[in-house]
Amino acid sequence: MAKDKVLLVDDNVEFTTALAERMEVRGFSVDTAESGATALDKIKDAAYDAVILDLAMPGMDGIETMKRLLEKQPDLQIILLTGYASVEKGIEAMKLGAVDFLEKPADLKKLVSKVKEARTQKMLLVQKQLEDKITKILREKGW
Amino acid sequence: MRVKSLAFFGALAASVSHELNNVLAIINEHSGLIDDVAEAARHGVAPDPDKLKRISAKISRQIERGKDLIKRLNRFAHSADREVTSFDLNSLLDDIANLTQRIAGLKGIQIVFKPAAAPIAIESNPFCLQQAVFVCFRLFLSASDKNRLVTISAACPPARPGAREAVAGPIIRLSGAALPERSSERETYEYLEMLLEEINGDLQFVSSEIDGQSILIRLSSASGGAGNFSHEGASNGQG
Repeated sequence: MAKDKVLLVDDNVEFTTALAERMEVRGFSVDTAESGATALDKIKDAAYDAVILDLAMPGMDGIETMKRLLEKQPDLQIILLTGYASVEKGIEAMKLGAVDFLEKPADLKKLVSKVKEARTQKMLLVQKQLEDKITKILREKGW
Repeated sequence: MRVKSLAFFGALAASVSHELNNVLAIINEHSGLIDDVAEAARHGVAPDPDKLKRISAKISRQIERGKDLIKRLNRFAHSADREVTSFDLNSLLDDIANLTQRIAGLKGIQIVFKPAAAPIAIESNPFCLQQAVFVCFRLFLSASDKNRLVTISAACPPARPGAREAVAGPIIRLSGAALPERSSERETYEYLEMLLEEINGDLQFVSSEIDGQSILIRLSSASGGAGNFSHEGASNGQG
């Protein structure tokens, strides 16, 4: 069975390196990106089941990165990591398309569970899109 | 002015609390890695001592980083205890540069502090002076310049014989990104001037020179600013 593929985006490299290692132990395939720009590059070459994105980053912040990622891949499942004082931002991010948000430092069990939920959600979306496509083709063929 | 002072206090406290949160996040993940090693050992995988050493070193480094942040935050918080107190200008500028670093970092700007060769002992209002320096940083951060480095330095040149200024005094210089036009940040420039005029105690504001890319603040000190300063004994506050 293919591993769930996750992209971790945070400028705090020591944090992402350790979190990536812990997630890999739990059966995930993890890529990391230090900035929003790198994340945008990474999604060109790989299909991710979920993106875990830090809200506060230099240059392109989490919200801007999320907007641009969703422009490129509207089905991308993005989970935001926020500092404790930015719950409002987390809610704002969900309104803009994030599937969930977690406070940092995150509880790994919760994070893993949210990534799995995100993957299920993505599979349902893909399945729905496939069904819509098939229905459209069948209609066009008059079947 | 009181509202702006509180906003300054809040901005630094919020920034440092976020930074401490990042420190805790790194410690949290590395302690989790130790848990994973222990769990694997339970299932017969021999723990790698070198890996454990590396993890422990990273945790220690973050603890030191956290301690440094807390120490600086504590000194900053105590800087408002008394209106006039003795302090070393080098330490004060080092603290404010360090505490502002995260705010600057989010804008992709790095602050570099270049201290004077020797401590600069002064007696004044540290909170007011830090706030003035912070407002200078804010001006640099509001610039859209491509220069991503802001340097702050302190100096205390000796008084020249026959010079107009009767006493020597410290100079604070900030330089880096192009500063915004006065017309676009009028309120901030005016507030900076107001803060500089508020500097009191042994220290007096002499002049400020603001050109396109630097701010030079000249101060005069009755004691000359280069006395024997005890770093330990004259900090902005302890505990």
